[in-house]
Amino acid sequence: MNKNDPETTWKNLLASSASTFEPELTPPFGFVTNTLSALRAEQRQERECERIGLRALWASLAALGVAAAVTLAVGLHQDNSDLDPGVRSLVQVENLPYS
Amino acid sequence: MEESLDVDECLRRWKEGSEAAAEEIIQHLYPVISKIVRTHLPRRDDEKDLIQEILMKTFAKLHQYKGDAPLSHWVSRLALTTCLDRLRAQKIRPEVRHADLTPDEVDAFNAAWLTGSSPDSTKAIAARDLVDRILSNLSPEDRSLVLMVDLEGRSLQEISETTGWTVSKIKMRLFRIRPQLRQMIQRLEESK
Repeated sequence: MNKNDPETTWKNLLASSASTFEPELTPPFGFVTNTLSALRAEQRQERECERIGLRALWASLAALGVAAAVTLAVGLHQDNSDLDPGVRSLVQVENLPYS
Repeated sequence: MEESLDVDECLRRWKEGSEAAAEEIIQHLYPVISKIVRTHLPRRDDEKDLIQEILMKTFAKLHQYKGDAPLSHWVSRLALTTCLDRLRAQKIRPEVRHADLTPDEVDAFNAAWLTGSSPDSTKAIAARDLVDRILSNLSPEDRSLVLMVDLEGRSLQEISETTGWTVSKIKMRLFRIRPQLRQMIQRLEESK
């Protein structure tokens, strides 16, 4: 018997198997329900992550605010001079005038 | 297919949290994704899981959909990329030899190889397994390209739109793949 060339053989193989490439037109039973429930779970997880991220953001903002307030308070509490601490004590002890 | 669903309306309802809209989108996209998965992945792969994975990706990225192309085209690209990723993760099988074929695959090969015998649809699964065996020797991109051209009869322009590859790149790939395919089938016959 004569033989086909490889190109024709390939085309014949594809033609024989064509039905296995046909798509399913409707989802099988339970598929939509499963997908919707997976979608819900993913959205819930996403919201949870957002909530945790938002909390962490607020917490770090609050910590930053506290740190800023403390720094400001300490700055105001200290004498408003640009002298070194040692020199400032000497000025205070001797009650020397300085500008 | 796009006419069967008011996509804009459905997307709007989905964004407002309507689960019924999500269900309509799933029903609408299922055949589109099923076609791509069946074509581009070997028959034995678990297609339901992959279709679900693609749908989840679709919903996660739906906010990026601008509506300048039909939703099914947009999803096709996403589905194809996911299939190619899945194929890349699979091991490339060694060269296919006649001795490795199952009796049904041998029959399917002989039916395709010998002149005068018409394609036998009762051997569809065996022929498909053989097609998958032959294609598993190609890279995932080449495999998909061959099927888009030889099985689906798509034009180079259509393939370019789906894959994002340029037409000249597609031509070059096809030019390189054809001799490989011929050689594989020739060797299969010679290794009898």
